[in-house]
Amino acid sequence: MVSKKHTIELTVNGKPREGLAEPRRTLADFLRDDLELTGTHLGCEHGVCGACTVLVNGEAVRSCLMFAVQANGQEVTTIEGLAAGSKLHPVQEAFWECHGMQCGFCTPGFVMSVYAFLQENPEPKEGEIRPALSGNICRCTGYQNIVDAVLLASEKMRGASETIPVLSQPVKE
Amino acid sequence: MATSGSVIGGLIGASVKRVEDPRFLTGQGHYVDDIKLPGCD
Amino acid sequence: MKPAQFDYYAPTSVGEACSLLARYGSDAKLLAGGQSLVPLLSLRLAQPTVLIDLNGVPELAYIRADDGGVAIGAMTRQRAVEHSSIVREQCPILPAAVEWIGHPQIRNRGTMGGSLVHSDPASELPALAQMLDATFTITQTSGSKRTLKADKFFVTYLTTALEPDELLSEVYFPVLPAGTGWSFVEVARRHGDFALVGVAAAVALDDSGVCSNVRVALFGVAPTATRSPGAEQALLHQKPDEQTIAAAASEVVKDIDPPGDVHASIAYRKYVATNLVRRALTEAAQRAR
Repeated sequence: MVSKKHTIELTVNGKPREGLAEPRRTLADFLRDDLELTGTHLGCEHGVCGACTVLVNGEAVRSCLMFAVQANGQEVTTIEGLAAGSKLHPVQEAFWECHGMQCGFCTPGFVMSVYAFLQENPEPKEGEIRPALSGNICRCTGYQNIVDAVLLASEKMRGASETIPVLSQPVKE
Repeated sequence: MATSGSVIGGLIGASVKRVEDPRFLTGQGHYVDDIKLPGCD
Repeated sequence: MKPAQFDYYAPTSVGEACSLLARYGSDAKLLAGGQSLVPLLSLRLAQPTVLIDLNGVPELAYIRADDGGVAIGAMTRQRAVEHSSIVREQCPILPAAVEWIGHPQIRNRGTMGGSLVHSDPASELPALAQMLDATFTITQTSGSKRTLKADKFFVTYLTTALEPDELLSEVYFPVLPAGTGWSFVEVARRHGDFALVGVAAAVALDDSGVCSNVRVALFGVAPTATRSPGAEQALLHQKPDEQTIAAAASEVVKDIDPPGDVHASIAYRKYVATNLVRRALTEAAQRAR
């Protein structure tokens, strides 16, 4: 049985995009292979690792658990859409400054999740950050620098005049 | 070993931003699955 | 892995969805939030030839409160319930339980109805439905509706009383009577994982401080979420204190049939179930006025 392909028209990172795909093609695969936006990564392909996190209509979702046809007519934001040209978003800057990544594979998923989280909770306490990011797995960092990056990002986004010191550096003599 | 007063002394123990991070942060990393080979979807 | 091929339909009304179900019946699966179904498709544990997507049917997503409880449309996102001030006021155990469901990304897409129909034995909502004695409204292909109470809705592992050509349209959660204390506790290996064991409990006291109503529902310990009549009867008409609660909690093992698997042994689940029931009854009794 060959299932019929559906036309998909959607907005990605502010631009109208379109493609043709079988219904079973996930949004993640559509973004990566049809639209050549490979920043969204596939870690587990069954909804537990968070590496595929994108925003659909502003909400963080697992793109491996959505079909591309379901995104027809919707607004999708991927990691490629966060920076404004060459200017990094404060969340991206904070991850850079706090060393919130090593291999970088989980990073797009984290950055999109953090972005969505800070929209809802602009001044989070540390105890609120870890549950909010429980849907994203990192094998490299041990998470502490990621938590620091979220705190720093929230400072930057609230327009603090001084950046807060990075919290997890060991005290140097 | 160089002592304080040289350029190298200023870097020891400093937190230095990595040069590869902007690529990772903007989705421009090139992981194995991102490589397009002819004939592979 | 990638899902097997299927044909896809996106109805925009319940009527259209029912026509599609009438046509495709047991060849079709309804797609709600997809957070449970799509992993099954990706792992090819399920291979329906037709998928009927309900995400374009707005009439199935709503939260309506009345004096007796809260009516929630089947396609209401879990996040909506988590953040709803109406629900928090009428039925606070509901958002407390929904917070335990997976992770934010899951709750953004996952639906109340989807989770209930999927009926994973380790999920939170079926236990809540059992504890609150919820009413399920089911729409049939003809458009007519029937209702079922929670104890008849959940049949066994991943199975409800829904026929292949029916769709769940609404769940009604009755409020707990005024002054009833409630508690929701869960043990999982990491925050957001499927529960190893969980408990939803409620305790009401009469004027002399004696339990007039005791409800205990557990999940993760049987093929479906289940009440524990043993624990409930043991505490009913007793004054709740350390001894009576411990005695009631020890009755729980007779009402459960926990699995042993890679995550936890049967013995561990029985042990944790007893402790969690004790904790939940203690908290519920403290909250009761």
